[in-house]
Amino acid sequence: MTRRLMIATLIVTAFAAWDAAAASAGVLGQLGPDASSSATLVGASGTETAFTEIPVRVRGDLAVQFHGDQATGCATRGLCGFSGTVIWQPPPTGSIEVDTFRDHGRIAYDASLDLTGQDSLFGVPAAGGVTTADVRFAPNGSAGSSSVCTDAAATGTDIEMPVHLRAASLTLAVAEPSLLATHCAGPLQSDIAGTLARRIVDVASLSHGQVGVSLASSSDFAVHGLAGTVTSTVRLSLGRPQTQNLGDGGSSSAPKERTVAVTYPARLDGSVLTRIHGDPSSCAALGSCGANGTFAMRVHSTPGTLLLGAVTRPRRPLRDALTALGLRKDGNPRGVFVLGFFIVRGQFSYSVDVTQGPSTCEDTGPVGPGVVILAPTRTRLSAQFQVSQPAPHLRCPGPTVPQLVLAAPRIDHLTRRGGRIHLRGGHKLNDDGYTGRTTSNLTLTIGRPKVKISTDALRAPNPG
Amino acid sequence: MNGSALARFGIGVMVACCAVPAAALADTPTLNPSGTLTFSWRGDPARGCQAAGVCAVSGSLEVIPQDQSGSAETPPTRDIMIEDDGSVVRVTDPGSTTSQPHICTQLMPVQLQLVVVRRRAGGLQTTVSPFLAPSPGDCAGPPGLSLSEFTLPARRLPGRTEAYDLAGTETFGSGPYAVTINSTIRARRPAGTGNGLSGSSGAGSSGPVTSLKPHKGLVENVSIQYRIATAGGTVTTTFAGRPSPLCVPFDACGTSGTITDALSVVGTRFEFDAQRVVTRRVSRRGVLADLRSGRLPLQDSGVLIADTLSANVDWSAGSACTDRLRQLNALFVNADESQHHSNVVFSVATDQIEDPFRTACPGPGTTDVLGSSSALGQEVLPVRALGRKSLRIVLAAGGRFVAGSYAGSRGGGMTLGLKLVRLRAGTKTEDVFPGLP
Repeated sequence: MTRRLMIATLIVTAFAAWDAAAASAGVLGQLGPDASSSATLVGASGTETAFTEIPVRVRGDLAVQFHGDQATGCATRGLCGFSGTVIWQPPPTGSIEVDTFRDHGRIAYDASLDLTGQDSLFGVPAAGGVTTADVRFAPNGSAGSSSVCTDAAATGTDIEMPVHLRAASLTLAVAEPSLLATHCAGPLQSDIAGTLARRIVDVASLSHGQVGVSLASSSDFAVHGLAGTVTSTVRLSLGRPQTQNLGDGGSSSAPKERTVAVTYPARLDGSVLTRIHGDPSSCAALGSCGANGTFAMRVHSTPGTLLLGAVTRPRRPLRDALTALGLRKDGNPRGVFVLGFFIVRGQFSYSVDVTQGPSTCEDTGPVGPGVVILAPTRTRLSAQFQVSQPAPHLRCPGPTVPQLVLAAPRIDHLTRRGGRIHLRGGHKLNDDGYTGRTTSNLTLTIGRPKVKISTDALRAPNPG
Repeated sequence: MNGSALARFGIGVMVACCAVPAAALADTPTLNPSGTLTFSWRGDPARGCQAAGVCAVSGSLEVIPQDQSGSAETPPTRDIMIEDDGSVVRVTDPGSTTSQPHICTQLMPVQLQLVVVRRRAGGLQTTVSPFLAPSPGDCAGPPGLSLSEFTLPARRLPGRTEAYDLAGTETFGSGPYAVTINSTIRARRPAGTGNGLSGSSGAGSSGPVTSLKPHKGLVENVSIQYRIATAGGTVTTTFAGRPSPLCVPFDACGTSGTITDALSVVGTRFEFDAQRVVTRRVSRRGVLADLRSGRLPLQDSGVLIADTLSANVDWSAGSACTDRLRQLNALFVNADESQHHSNVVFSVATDQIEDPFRTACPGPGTTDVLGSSSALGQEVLPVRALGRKSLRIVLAAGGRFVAGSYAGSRGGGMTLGLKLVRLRAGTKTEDVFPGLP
């Protein structure tokens, strides 16, 4: 059995156990094959009937010019001295992927623009477009001593195209990673979302390909202490589509597997603190010399479900999977795939302050949903915490904070009792222009577990 | 974030995280690097920066290796993978002041394999094998692969865990620049076993091996050899910075320039071969007829050629950068048969390792100028022309481009004069392996 299939199995099981509200909102149905390259994911709640890939040529650029804006409160955020240019240049090619599937008897679609290009020559990034920022900071207006931040990053790999009543919506405002994310100060993608073109395309037109879609626009923005202009000349030319009809989405001769899932009611609370400093050896180009700052994320999640699962071949003794999960001690856990996760939703607040000389940039913002992933090492669980926050420094300058890897207790302590797991730990930060340290003080509170054993929870494609 | 995005996010995380779990396979973790590798350069008067117009140029590329702790290998090696998808080139151009900086900025992913080897004289050192070589990109800086032509000292660190210290500084010259490479890299092999998801595997099995037994058979074949007797012409690329603000990233506002590429291939031999298994002998005349009619498929052919690259770029500050260099391995002349076997497509193409547009001056690179193609110029000849005493191949170049901070066009062409050296055609008995057409 492939590892990817195991992951898919666990994810499907997890989502099935996760949240009825999310399921009814169509989350399961919208899972596309690209999520894990497995069409079987969709099959959990709907049967995928066709997969269409349309090659796309991409031309044009997105240019954002901005400056601190008194009228929208740059003084309170410490953004008045910043001005600059951010350019996003898409890769020359990409593809639109459309999944057609049947969900509760109705045809539904999932579409996205994938800008993960082919490997390019001579070191040009293979994935997504490139964002380049050139941002000047003059604390006391143009007369003061200024610093310059110049940076570039790979961005804009994936653009979701939500489909409603056969109408797919396409806008650069939902690109991930954010088209404006660099180490420099500047507006967030959400700040300019309203100025970017949104095009509605009929799914049938998409599926026939060979049309042009213009995302060109030009507009001013002024929000959260920054103002400026946004100019997009981005245009897509859709080529000839290729459609793969998938029938009922599965084969009766496909291998089966056994999944043992332990679910817990769970909640995550606490904080993650990152202290950053300009790195004297590399700060000049990023204008971060002398910078000191703190990024603080506070989490009070809504109650959800933590899933811990094990996947084995069905002929293996059940005790092997149970041992791998810490529920028994007499089995052989070797080779049993174990993984767990908890999708964290609820109240997240994020606050940033970065001080450089007499100036302090302060910003706050919401944080998207996060995930705690549990994976076993030889003797204990390791927890990884990720949040969907592409620019943790928000509108201020700052480093990219990597995902937290935290230590968690031995697996049997978790599976038998529930209780509280303290996710404490931290790691050093070594980023372009910055150094620092991230420490976490998170607590995962879990209730009494429920165990579910199922065989062939997921009809799997032939792993070969 | 909508539900779908949330789900994708979660699954993306899941797939990414699975570099962590399951100590199922007994592979050895690879050496995991930390620290920084910094490449910096500046115009050097002792190396002629004055004549090249780059004395005021200084640049750097900082490489911070990504964590490799999820990777494993079998058997264990002393190779250290240095990967940084986010490394950025920053070059300060002439005319830059504190109040009016001129900085060229470009994302330049780097992937290097550092190999710790034992020196003959004793001790350890590190050699470099580039996959994505460090480069100044479209900014001004050392041309070619010179930024990956270095070695670093290596020292085994004490302790039970295998670990190396690659800290050191190396200075060398490249074109009109003095280059300094500063390493604070350390590499440590994590305890335990890897997960077997990535890294090299020297013990892998590729399934049962079927021995191919040849048998004697009749092979219709033709071999035509030409000598490149004359070569002339140039491909010229002219470019200028795009309108503001699109010129800002590469500091190309007000910049313009010309890149000229000239072949120097005289004396090189070009060979065309074709063969197929037949059931009865074919005469020489019949073999040539089969070739010209497309029944005898031509094998792809090519020769590596030298070229001379010249660049002349006017900086926005008023000064000019000039460079001229001879490249030995940056270009091929290829000859590929068309799909229906009726034509031969000649092209002068890049070797996809060295960039034939890169000099010490700033300007667009191959990806900017050619896009996803690798051909500078192209000519189509009918297959029936092969065998003539002389061939004249005009590799015409043309087209416009808009990429990065530059826009421009290329034109001109290269002309090759080929003289027939020998033509062999006939049928012979040879060892034939199963599956040969």
